[in-house]
Amino acid sequence: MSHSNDEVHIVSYGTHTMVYIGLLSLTALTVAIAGGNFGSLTLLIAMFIATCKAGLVLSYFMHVKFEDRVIQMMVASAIILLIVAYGMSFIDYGTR
Amino acid sequence: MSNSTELHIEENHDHEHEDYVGDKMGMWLFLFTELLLFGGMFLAFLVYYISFYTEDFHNAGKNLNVMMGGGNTLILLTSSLTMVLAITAIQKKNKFLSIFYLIVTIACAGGFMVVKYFEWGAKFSHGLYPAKLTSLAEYFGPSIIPSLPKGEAIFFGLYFTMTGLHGFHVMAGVAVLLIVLYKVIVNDIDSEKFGYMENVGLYWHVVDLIWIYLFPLLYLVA
Repeated sequence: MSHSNDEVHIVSYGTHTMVYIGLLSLTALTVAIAGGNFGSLTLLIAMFIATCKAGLVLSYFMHVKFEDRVIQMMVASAIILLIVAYGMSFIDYGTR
Repeated sequence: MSNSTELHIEENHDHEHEDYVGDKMGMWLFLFTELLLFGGMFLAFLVYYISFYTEDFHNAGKNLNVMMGGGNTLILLTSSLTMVLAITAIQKKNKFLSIFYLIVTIACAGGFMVVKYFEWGAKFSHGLYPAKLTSLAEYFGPSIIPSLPKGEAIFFGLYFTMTGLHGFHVMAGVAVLLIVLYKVIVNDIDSEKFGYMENVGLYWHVVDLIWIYLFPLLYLVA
């Protein structure tokens, strides 16, 4: 069925701009942390911030927050699959 | 009975068959394959970095230009913003604003590739390029990668593969964005029919998502 206009959720210019500012701030934070001295924690912190940014892009820019439950479940299962693959690989390499 | 009524209504309403939800699901399935394609390379990078060549990766990472990487992060984030603004504009029936934002998006993609050109050029002129490309030796001198410690050679192998494949995705993005621009101009995409544009937008955001992880991993490991 073709969709009609009233069932589509339009995200406002303002929301998108706020998300953009958030993304820029997190990028600046990543660069600042890489410059500091956090040793082996740096990678962990950088990946955590990157994941926050990815969450913002997925939720708002990619519209997942306002999407049908089916698409939300699809995205979640793909991410879980990736996490399981990563987790199992690191358990393997970490215990050799 | 109800089925045939529905079909009848749809035929009257729209001659072209369109499946908004199905198109979007198909796009997401394709994007999952992209996720796994890059996910595998990220996994290889992380395992080599954490478990085998931490020191070598630190040293090799120092050769990368954080300013260029950071600048490209800025460019891609901006293009992601203008992409969604273009979609909002078309949904709000503002065709010209949408065209403007699409052009900015495409210009950002071009800018990203220009920065990449200078970045790779600088690497090549230092002898940092895949050693198998022997024809480059007459311009840049012999590749120094085979003489590097093994971990550094692996770092540059992953660097060229990942940023190269990502750059290829940026160029593919430009191609589909140009199609969207054309469709908006000829009113093939409008406030009633924008599924194609949304799906291209999804692809463009995945290109951005990949860079969100690539930048800290490659440029900031030093």
